[in-house]
Amino acid sequence: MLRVEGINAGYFQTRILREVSIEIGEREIVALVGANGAGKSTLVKVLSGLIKPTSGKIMLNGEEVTGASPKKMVNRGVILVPEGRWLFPLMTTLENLFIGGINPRSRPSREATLRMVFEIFPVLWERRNQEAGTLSGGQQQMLAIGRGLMAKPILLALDEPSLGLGPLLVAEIFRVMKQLREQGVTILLVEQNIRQSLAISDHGYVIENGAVVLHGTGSELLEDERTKRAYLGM
Amino acid sequence: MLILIGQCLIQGLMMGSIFGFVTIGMVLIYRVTKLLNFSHGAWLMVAMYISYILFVKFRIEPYLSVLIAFPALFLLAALVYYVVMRPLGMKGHIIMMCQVSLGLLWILENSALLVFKADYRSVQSVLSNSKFYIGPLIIKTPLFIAFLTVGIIAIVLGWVLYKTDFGLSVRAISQHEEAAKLMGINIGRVQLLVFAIGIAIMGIAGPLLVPWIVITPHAGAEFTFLGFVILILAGLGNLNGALIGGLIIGIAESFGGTFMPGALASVPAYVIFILVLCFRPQGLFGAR
Repeated sequence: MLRVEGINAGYFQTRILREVSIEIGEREIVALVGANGAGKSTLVKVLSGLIKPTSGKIMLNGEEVTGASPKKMVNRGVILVPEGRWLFPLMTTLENLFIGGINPRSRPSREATLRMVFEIFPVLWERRNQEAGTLSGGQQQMLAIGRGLMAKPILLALDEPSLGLGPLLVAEIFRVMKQLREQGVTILLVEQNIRQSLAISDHGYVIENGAVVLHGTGSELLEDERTKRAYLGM
Repeated sequence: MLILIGQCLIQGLMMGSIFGFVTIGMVLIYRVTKLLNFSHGAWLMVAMYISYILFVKFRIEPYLSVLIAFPALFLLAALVYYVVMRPLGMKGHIIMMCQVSLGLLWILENSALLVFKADYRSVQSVLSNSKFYIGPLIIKTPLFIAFLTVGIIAIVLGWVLYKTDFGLSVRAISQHEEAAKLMGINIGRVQLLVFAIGIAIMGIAGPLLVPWIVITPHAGAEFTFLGFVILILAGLGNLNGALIGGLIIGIAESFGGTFMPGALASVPAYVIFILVLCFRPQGLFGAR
């Protein structure tokens, strides 16, 4: 569904990604693991259109989308839930969800999608009129994911969804990911929580210093010594 | 004496609502495009001259000239933004955008000077000298109409901001622009519209002022300056604060004009401003 070939990208003069190539198939859960600063967030930002690659190609369902704007990627159904969530702090939970579905693809069915999101995350319904900035960390993460779901993604990229969350909530989020896959959503998971993310994935990529150093199924990567080395930077 | 104070208060409240109205446009533009618009008041002056020409040449009542001034300003502002501001903004040259707005100010004021000279002009419309009484207090009708109108438009703006998808986009961009991009919002288009509308509403305020304010090429300057004062007084980027700050400054100006000797009329307003900066530099209403 998504093919990335030879992407080079960075910020200003610094090159972060070097010749990165990955592939994501429909209805898969694909993991991107690696140490802090390895370039995982940069890659998902490139995929969502926030950063333009300096070279390389991105193909989505056969259509070339290299360098497309964030607006175009959202209209194609590529939705990013960024690290740090990026909620609109002064808007209520409901408003944040509403604006998640504002793009023309998801706008017509917004009410129905909203009901679905409240079913997945009942706590968001309870706090629907509360300002997003006053929610707890776990609630904010659920809101961020819910907001992403409002855009009716065909490919949902989650950047560090478990960051700063307790184990119960993390388990909940992973459960939701499996549920989404059942419903036909393809998921790209960027995580430092290596064990759980590789366990849930169909396959994964290990990134070290901006380059893909390893690729395999979840269990293959978990057993590989090089994964541990890249992750811990040893 | 009591009556005089009452008169000052009423006058100040109504003038203040107009100052606040001008500031709201500046706040919206600042929050969505990050531009501090030095030319803001000058557009008010442009609208006043449009109203003046329509009155003198075609006998069109100032209040009707809104129908021409509003779209004219909207189109002109949209053009300026699209051609000049937007390319700069997309490359992140915010300071240059502010400089461009300064250049715009000079172009607008000097064009007016060229065409109309520095003479004071005024329009005597049917309502120019009309007034009515609430108890012992005199209320000038055109001022009251201006007060009502800006109040209504402020309510409409509030409705748009909080009850429509467009308003949601505007608030999103002002709270977190990068996140707004991820929502699929067309940032450039919203910024263009906010700039154009923020200036077009000067096309409503201008004609409102024409029946009772003297028109000169520099008429807008005071509004711009006070606009910045109120902007900072309220706390950069606060909309409700802009209205309330406007009322405060309006009342201060009114009392200053009545009780202080001529040249010192604006002193009370600036004293309040400086005091707020000293003791609450983030503005009366804080960061947002």
